[in-house]
Amino acid sequence: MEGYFAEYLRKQSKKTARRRRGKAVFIVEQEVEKSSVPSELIDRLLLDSEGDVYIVEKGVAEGLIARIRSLEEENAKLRRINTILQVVVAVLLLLTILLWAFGR
Amino acid sequence: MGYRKLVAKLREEVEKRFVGNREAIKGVTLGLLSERSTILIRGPRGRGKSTLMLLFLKGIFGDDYVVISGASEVKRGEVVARLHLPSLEKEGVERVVWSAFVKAKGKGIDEVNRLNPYTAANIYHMLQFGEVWAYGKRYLTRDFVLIANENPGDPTTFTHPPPFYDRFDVSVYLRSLSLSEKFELQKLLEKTSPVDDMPQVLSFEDLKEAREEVAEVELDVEIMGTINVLVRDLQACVRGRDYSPIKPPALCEGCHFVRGVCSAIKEGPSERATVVLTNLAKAKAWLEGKVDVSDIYELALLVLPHRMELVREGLPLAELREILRREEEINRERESRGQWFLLDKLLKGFKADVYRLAREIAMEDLVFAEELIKLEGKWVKEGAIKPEETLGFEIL
Repeated sequence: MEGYFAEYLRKQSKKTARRRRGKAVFIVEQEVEKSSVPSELIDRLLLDSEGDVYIVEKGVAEGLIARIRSLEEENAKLRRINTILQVVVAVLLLLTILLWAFGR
Repeated sequence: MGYRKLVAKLREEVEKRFVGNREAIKGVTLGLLSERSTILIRGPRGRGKSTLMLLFLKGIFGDDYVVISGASEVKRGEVVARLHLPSLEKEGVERVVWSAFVKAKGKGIDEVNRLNPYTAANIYHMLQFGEVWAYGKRYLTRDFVLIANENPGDPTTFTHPPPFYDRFDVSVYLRSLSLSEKFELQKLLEKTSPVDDMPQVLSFEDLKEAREEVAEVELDVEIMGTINVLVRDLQACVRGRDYSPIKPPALCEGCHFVRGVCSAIKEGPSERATVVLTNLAKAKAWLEGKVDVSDIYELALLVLPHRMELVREGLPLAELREILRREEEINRERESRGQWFLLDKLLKGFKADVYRLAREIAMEDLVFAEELIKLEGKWVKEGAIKPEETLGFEIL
C-alpha cells in the first residue's frame, strides 16, 4: 500500500501550480472559496461568518463573560445617568412652564 | 444478456414498481454488488421500506427467500438454529437444525430494530464472516444477500450497539413522496400489486458472477486516495477521541485543529467504511462505466450515516452533507497549498526548507501532520533533526 500512497502523492503533486525561478520552486497558492461554517466563535464575532456550532477556548469564553459583565455595569451606570437626566429635564420643563405662566 | 445489463434491468424493474426515492434504489443496487452484501433501509412508517426490500429480494431470488420479522419474541431457533430433540432424546446425539433464514441465500429482516439484542448478536458473526455458530457447530452461509429495514423512531426500538449497524454495508433513507409522486403512486396501485408482480430478473448465480466482475475492477489511485483521505479525516483526533470518555465539542476545547471536520464528529467511522466505499466505487464504475471524485462524496452518504455519531444530532443526514461539503473544501485547500507535493518531496528525503513549509501547514491539518510526524521519526534516527525540534514534540 506504500506504493499506492507514493503514487497518490505523485499524482496529486501534478495538480499543484508551481513556478520555477532558477533552482527555486514556488508554489502558487490558488484562492479557495471559504466555507461559511466556521467552528470558532471568534470567526463569528470578527469575520461575521455563519454557523450553528462553535467551539471556544475556556480563556476566550472567560474573556467574553468579563466583557459582557463590564458592558452590563456600563449599561446600568448609563441607565442611572439617564434617569437623573430625565428628572432634570422634567424639573427644567416644569420651571419653564411656571416661569412662562407667572412671568406674564 | 450480460451481467451488467441484468443488474441494470433489476434496478429498472424495481423503479417501475416503486415511486420516488431513486437515490435509495440506486444505493441498494450498488450495495448488492459485493460479496455478502448487507443493506439497511431506514425511514418512518409507511415509506415503503418492506416493499423495497421485497422488490429486490424477489428480483433476485423469485420466491426463494426468507424474511424474518423483527420482534422481541423471535427466538434463536427461528433466526439461527435449534437442537433436534428426537436425536437428543433417543440417541443422545446433539444434532443442530439450522434455520431456514440461515440456509437461505436471500435473507430479509423486517424491522430489525425490534429484534432483541440477544437475537441480533446471533447474526453479527454471520454478517461479517459468512458463518454461523450454534451449539458448538458451524454452518457456512458463504455468499448471500441480506436486506433489513427499520424505523429508528419506532417506540418498540431496541438500541442496538454501533458495531451491529457497522456490519451493514449500506444504509438508505426513504423520504416521503412529493405531491406529483403521490398521484403516481395512486395510478400504480390501481394498475398493479407491485411486489406480487415483480419478476425474477436475474438469479443469485448471475449476481455472484456480477460481483466477481465488480471485484476485478481496478480503481484509479486518485479515487482510492479520496476514499482514504475522507475516512481518515473523519477518524483522526489528536486528543484520542476513540479512547476518551469526553467527546467533541467538549474534547475540542483549546485544540488548534478545530478548523478540520473532526470537531463535528463524536464517533468516527470504522475501517469497514473504507472497504465498503471502495466496493461501492468499483460497483459504480462497473455498472455506470465511470466513477469520479465527486461520486465518492455521494457514495459516502450510503456508507457513513449508520457508522458515525455526530455532534449535531438533530438532522444527521443534513449535517453529514455539510461535513462532506467542508471536506471537499479542505481538499481543495490542500491542493492549493501543495501539501501533497511537499509530502511527496519529503518522502524522497529530508529537505530543511520543504520541511519548514510542511510543518507550518501541518499545524492546521491533522492528517497531514500525522504523516509528517511519521517521517520525522525516520529523520530523527538519521540525525537530520533533533527530537525536540520536531512537530510531534510540539503537538503530541
